[in-house]
Amino acid sequence: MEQFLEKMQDVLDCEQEVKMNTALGSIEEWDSLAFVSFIAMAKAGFGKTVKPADVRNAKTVEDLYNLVK
Amino acid sequence: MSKVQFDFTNENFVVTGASSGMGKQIAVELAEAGAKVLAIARRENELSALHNQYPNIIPSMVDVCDYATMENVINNFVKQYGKLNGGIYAAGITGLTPLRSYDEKEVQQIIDISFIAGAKFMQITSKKKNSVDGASFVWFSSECARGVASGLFAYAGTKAACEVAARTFAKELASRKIRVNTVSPGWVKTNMTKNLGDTHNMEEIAKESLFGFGEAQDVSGMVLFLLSDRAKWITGTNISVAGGFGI
Repeated sequence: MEQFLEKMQDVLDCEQEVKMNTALGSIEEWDSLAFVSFIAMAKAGFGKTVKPADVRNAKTVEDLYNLVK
Repeated sequence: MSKVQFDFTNENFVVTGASSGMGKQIAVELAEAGAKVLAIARRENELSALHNQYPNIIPSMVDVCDYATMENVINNFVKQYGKLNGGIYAAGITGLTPLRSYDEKEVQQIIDISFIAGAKFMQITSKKKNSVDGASFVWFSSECARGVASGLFAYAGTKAACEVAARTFAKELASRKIRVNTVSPGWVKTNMTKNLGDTHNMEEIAKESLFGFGEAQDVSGMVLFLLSDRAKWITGTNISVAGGFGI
């Protein structure tokens, strides 16, 4: 989980600390580029091919974590 | 001294390939213009000599393909001196790779150093924690990315790839007003081209450009300009500095 949060920090490249319960809507950096970066990270870091629709439905960082764990 | 002077006082830059050729020239000129420069290269003696002459140049003997060390060195520099105002990726090698007899390992090495490690360099340096908004990055391409030279498919192809990558990064980083450009030198006398005479006719090569061979300082001015605020509307492009190559 820590490893995931660390990778999310890179995906978002934001200076605020990313936590599991952080709402994606509250992160300014959660944009289309972060979206594709997350999909690429899921594959490279966790060997998971996630569906873009599932990523779009995610509301919190934890929702994203559930897609890769 | 040139009539055009740049002022990079209180600014921080990282230069790879800083021990010779263009990289060295740029590190020196940045230091002369008041910047703090993290100079990354593999040749220790050349780097130490640079530091002795220019205390503003902080030398670091690192192979750019050793990503973890490169990242550490950059992180530490930023911690000590502050975020980067830009970076120059001048690390690169060349090699003859004629279709009939190229060495696959050499091809891979050219790609690894000039392209893949360059992308890593951009990934590390462009992070918010490492660079300011509006930072400027310059990658080295080469005029041979367009002019075709026999026996150079790996070098030329890699440089063409660098140009496309730089444009892509320019797009990805535009929201932070970070600029990414490439500079394509023509034939310049550096370490990289000094052995060219062994395999090519230098007089013929000189004729490929209206002004013949250039020097590293004929190219560095454009790089400093791109790093400066005068170039703040220039991004995602390639600029040829080639003495009239191919005309």
